[in-house]
Order: sequence, then structure tokens, then C-alpha cells
Amino acid sequence: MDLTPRRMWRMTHLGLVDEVLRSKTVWLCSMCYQCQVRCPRGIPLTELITRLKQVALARGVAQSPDSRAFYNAFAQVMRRYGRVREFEFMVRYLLATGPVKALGFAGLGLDMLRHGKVRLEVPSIGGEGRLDKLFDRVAELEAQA
Amino acid sequence: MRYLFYPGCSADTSALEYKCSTLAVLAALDAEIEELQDWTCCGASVAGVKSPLLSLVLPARNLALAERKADHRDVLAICSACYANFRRTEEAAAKPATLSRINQALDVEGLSYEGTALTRHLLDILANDIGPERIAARVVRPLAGLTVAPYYGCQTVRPFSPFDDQERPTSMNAILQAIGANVHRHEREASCCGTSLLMTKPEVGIGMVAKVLEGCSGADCAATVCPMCQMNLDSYQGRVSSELGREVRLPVFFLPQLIGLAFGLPESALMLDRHLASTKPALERLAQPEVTEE
Repeated sequence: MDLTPRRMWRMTHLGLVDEVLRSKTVWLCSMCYQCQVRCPRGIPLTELITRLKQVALARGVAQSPDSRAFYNAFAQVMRRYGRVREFEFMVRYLLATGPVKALGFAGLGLDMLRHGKVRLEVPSIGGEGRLDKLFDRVAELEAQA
Repeated sequence: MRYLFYPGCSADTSALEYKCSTLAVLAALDAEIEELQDWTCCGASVAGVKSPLLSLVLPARNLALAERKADHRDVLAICSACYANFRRTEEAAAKPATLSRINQALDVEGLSYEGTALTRHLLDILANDIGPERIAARVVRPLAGLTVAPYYGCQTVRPFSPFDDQERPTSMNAILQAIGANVHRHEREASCCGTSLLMTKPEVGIGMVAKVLEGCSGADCAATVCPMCQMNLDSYQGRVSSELGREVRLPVFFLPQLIGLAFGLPESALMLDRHLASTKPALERLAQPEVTEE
């Protein structure tokens, strides 16, 4: 991490958001909440990082294209089926990140397939997604705010 | 004891053995479980990155379905990320303005959320509603000779931990002792498994998994209570081995699989062959005849 959570919080307060968004810290957060529960001032640091990720993706800050691909693929599958179909999510993610990354996961994928950990389902194309209405309504409400 | 069961997305595919062993163990302990109908994804760590409101609305949709049941049973979550998202929503709903915004969204699904549903983690229910004594009473085959490293991960106890310490949790110890296992305490019990970093930044994620597996070294196996933790600890041991320069092979069980073994539940309920790191070394240790003390 190039910025500690405390420094990141202070810089955000000082309006140095662009610098914070360009840091590695935002994309290295795994949401373990360690910093948040340890903070003696009760600052919701993990929540802040999630918001910073959101702002970065909305502004197209390309610090971590793989993270962007991950969030997009996950959200697409969640919206489409209401539940995350892990296999389709992985395929969408790896298609977006390119062949090098995909090859790195090929061995693991086969191993998981062999152990019955992967359910192969045919993607449904066209028609309304299970959570389209809810996602659209949330987007409308967010735009009003 | 009656609960409404929210399996979460992983439990229907990659972590099917977690769902099946949970249901079998709870049935053996006379808990009544009903799966929540028409449940949808909790939003994982992704919804919040897309929209703050979405990260509350997705859990609230499921909690609203749970509230439709007249008897207000607790909701049982087995995935720690689902659990944390649901608890976070329950806390946020205490603010009337937030609750009203959530309901403006849920309206398109014909649902309304009151903020009364309460979500509990499987570990909380095993440790506190059922308790080690009742678990011990059901044991037919103590896991004598097996040393288990408990692994809680993060979101089981952080940031919401109504049932355990946020950094030094202990609730698995008495359960593992109740089924006759030895407990291997270590420094990484509540460290992070790396979650999605294994996919987006594997070079960082592998290091996080390696630290946890190093913490577990000395044990015959690890016990987890989250599908994400289990997958990360189980699936990357080859890469961890090259990273550490020594062979790391550790069976990573879901806690209810170990409880089920001690209860003598059938393989069909425990699915011990679905793990990437073979569970055989741990199972063989159990098969050894007990050493009788003179």
C-alpha cells in the first residue's frame, strides 16, 4: 500500500481526491475491515475506500483495469440472473482482462471442473434480466439525489 | 430452533458441500431450517462499488422476503460476506431516511422492508444457540488425534461481531473440542484470505493466502466458515508452495463437514471429495486406531 488508510482519509478531506484515486491503496483493499475496527476515532475507513472505488470507476480512472473488469462482470451476471453464476462470471471477467490472465487461471479452472466445483450453464441472451427493474430504479433514485 | 436459510450464490455451486453439510448437521441437532424462497444475491463486495444505495437494496430485498414470514425467524447466513452485507443493511435501516429510500427502490419488486429481520451467522448459531454441550452429546465418532486450525477470516467477525471478538475470535475452539479435535491456535485466525485479490491482483492475494496457511502449519487441517475463505485457502496451494519454496498441502474443511464426520453422517451429506487439496491425509489420521493409554 502506497498510502496508509489514515493518510488516505486525511488527503480525501483536504480535497486531494485525484491523488488518492491514483494510489494503489484503493485497489488493494480487500474489505477486511481491520483498519476500520482498529481506528480509535471510529472512522469508517473501509466504507470510504468502497466509495473511492465507485468514484474512480465513474470517472474512468484507469489505475486498475482488472478491478474494473471484475466489478463489471460480477454486476452484469448478478443483474442478469439475480444470483451469481460463477462460471459465466469468470468467463466474462477473463474475456475482459485478456489471454495472459486467462491462461493463468486455466489450470485452476480445470482442477475445479474435475472436483465438481463448476456448474456449466448455458448463458441466457436477450430478454429482461432478473434484477433489471431493481437496478434501473436504484439508478433513477441515485440520479435524483 | 427455527431459521430461515439464505444460502448465498456460492453455496449452490462451488461450495455445495458447505450447504449440504450445514443442512445435515443442523438437522442432526434438531434445528428446523427452511430455505428463503426467491432469494437473490447480497451484492457481495461489488454492489457498493456500483452504487451505495444498491449495496443496501440488494440485501434488503432478501430481508423483506424474510419479514413476509409471520413468525419472524432469524435469518441464517453461511457466507461471511452475505452475513456482513445483511447486518450492515439492518444497521443502516435504523435511520428512517435510509429505510425510506431503500423502500422506494424495493417498490418495483412489490416488496417492503421494515428493518426488523435479524441475520445470524452459522458460527453464532452453532456456538450460542446450540452450544458445544449439545454438539458433544451428538458425537458418535470423536475426531481424536486430529489437530484443526480454526480460520474465521474477516467478515465473520468484522465489522459486526455481536458474538465474538473482532480480532481474536474464539467461538470455534469449544466446538472443535466438543467434537474431540485438538485446536491449533495461530496468529492468522482472523486475517484476510485475500478475497477477490486472488483474481484481480494474484501476486498480492497469493501472499495473503500464504500467510494464513503458514499460520495453520502444524495442524492436520483447517476449519472455515465462509465459501470465499475456503476457496482461496484450498485452491491456490500449488502457487503458495512455489512462493514459499516448500510444499504446502493442507486440507481445508468447512466446519460443519468436521462436525458431520464426528456425528457419523454419510459421505453424501459431507462431500469430502470436492476439495482441491485432498482431504485424505486428514481422514486417514482419523482412521488410525486410537492409542490406548496404559
